[in-house]
Amino acid sequence: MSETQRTNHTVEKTLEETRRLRVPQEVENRLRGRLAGFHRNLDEYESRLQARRMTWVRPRPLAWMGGLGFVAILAGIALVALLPPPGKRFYAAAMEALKSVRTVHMSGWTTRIQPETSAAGDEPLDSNKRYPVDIWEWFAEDGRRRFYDHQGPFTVWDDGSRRYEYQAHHDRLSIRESDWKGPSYAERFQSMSNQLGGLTERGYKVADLGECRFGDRLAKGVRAEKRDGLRKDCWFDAESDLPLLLVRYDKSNEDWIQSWEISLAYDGVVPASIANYVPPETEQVHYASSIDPRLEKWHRRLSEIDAHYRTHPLPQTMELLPRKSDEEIPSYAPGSLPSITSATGHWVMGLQCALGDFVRTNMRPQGWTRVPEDILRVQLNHDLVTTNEDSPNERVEFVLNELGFEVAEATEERTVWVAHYDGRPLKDYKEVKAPVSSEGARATGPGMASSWGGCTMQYLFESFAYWQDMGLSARKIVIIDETGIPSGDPNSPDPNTCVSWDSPYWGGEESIDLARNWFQEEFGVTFTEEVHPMKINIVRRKQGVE
Amino acid sequence: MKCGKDEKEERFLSNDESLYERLIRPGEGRMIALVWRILRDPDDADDAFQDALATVLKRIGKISRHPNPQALVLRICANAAYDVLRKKVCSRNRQDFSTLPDGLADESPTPWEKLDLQERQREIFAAIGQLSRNQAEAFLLRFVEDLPYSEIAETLGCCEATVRTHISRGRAHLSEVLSHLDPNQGKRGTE
Repeated sequence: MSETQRTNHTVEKTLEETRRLRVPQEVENRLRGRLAGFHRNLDEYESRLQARRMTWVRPRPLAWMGGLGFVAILAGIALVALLPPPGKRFYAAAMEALKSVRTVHMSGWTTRIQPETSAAGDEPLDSNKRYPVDIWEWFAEDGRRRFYDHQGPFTVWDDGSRRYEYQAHHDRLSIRESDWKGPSYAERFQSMSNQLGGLTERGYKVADLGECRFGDRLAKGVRAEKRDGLRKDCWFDAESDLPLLLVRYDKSNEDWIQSWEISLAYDGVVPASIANYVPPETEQVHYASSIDPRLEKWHRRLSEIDAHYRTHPLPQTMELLPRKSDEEIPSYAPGSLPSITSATGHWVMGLQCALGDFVRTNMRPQGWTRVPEDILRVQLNHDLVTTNEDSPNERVEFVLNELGFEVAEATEERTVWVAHYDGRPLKDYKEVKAPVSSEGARATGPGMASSWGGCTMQYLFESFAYWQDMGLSARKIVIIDETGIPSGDPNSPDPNTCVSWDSPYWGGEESIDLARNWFQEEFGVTFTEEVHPMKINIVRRKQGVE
Repeated sequence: MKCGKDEKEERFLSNDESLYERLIRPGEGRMIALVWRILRDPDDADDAFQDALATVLKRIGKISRHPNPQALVLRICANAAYDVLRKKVCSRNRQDFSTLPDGLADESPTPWEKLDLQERQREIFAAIGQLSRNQAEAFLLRFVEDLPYSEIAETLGCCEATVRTHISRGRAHLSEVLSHLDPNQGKRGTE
């Protein structure tokens, strides 16, 4: 690799790295604020336009005559000069006609196959050979576009979420995000606009080819020719304006050599083998930089759940779907269902963990729930379908209920810390860091930052109880907040109520004194230890359930 | 008979959804992320974003008729960020420019590697600020936003070959001014 290539590689890899940059919450809020203002302005602009459409001012008689004359002159000029060239006319009519089409099928042959992805050392295919072409493009019931393109050894499959290219001669599969960008993109068919592109692009000379009959259809033809040696003949149905036949020629030593011929058909039934196409499994899989291969199994699982709800009703509240296989499917974040989430708000939490872990991370407040040892270890291998309407506690109770457990209340004497605040001015939250530096540490230890990005006082107290009671015994220290420091809505932290940048790890007995000192030094918050009868939640098997 | 402009207005007003819902809402996150990734300074990002929104408002008619309006909006955002970037490069305000991001993904194994990456990003974006507008736009949309060539061509209103030319010329310029980033020329101070 030359020095220039190495530098280019470094530049491009570094720019790719920037795609992993997360927008800080503060910046996100600030820019979303701008968007809100813009939204108002745009709505006003739109209403003004609407109002203008409905207002018509009666012109004075003289202005009428002058105006009519002027319009007549303009119309004359428009007819002569502004009439769109034939290429654009055919293209526009075809694009308009395609709006009422659901399925396009293109078949024929080509000598020029352009792979979407390639690797070093790939040899070009023999261009003297004709390769069969079979392309299907349609809109499925979920409103998303599907695209299947088989040319010689190449098969491209776009399921509206991922785009796969399988190269049979290399037994290689490439995966990237779908080209489909939402409904506005769906107004036209990608395959078609690619093929007809020459009719509207600059640099093409367009000529009328007259009329011709293809079977019982009368077609009108147009030829687009480029100076550098490319010619496309496009034939359109005279009645529907839809393209019927596309022929391409390339110039070679002053001779025009035909390089493809594609016939088109519309609204046919997509063969099941294509509608349900699944790219073959292979060892050589290449992922685009925007795709994290670790999450692809999770992506496929979400597609399965999405497909499941095409034949099953969505739940009124939540549904716990057991997985059929024990295969590990890492899901670092909740997933959305491609054809469902935007319409109904349902999304999916992957639950492949011990029941105790699920309860510990979701049940609020922290430190008040007791789960017996045998129940803690129950293994979940499920997906929870839920919505934002459901609170974390409701989700926990739903899952417990589905598995034959329930939450009962009991009153017990408990040691609590009551937090008091000496009223000193609080520092800028960005300056408040965990008491122990994690630099060079191999594992997170007491007092090191466990999460960061802005924490309220309430969050810090909850976090302390969480780390102290990892075993869900409901017997460890919990904090009663009497500081009066506002914490706002715990679900949407606000920089105005944040008191610390870091949230430290407070696991084990050795963290207790460390935490006391840190709260006192950083915030002037001290604790008094008291014993009170308190209500706790106990998870148990439902009565009468084994 | 309607005149051309009214007809166009009719077309983009006839939809049931508002212009915002159709043209802006689906790409909100990408607009914000693109501006941030290029500038990585809250004030600069805010300035560029405001400029971009003002341009979008001015050209909303054209955007609504574009075959891929969201990509065009992204281009406007990239353009506004490029303008801010260029101003910075001109004023050589290195202090501001090196404002470090809070948002670097925490997968970077060591603080040194993180710092090295930040330094490289700073230099590369400064060099992109020296490219011509077309080259910079094509470069940013391709490598920062990961748009395919076909979509960039559609957005810039040219053919794919032209986009490839812009990117190739941009590459040539960057490899000249950034030759010291060649990994074989020794790693930056990690000691």
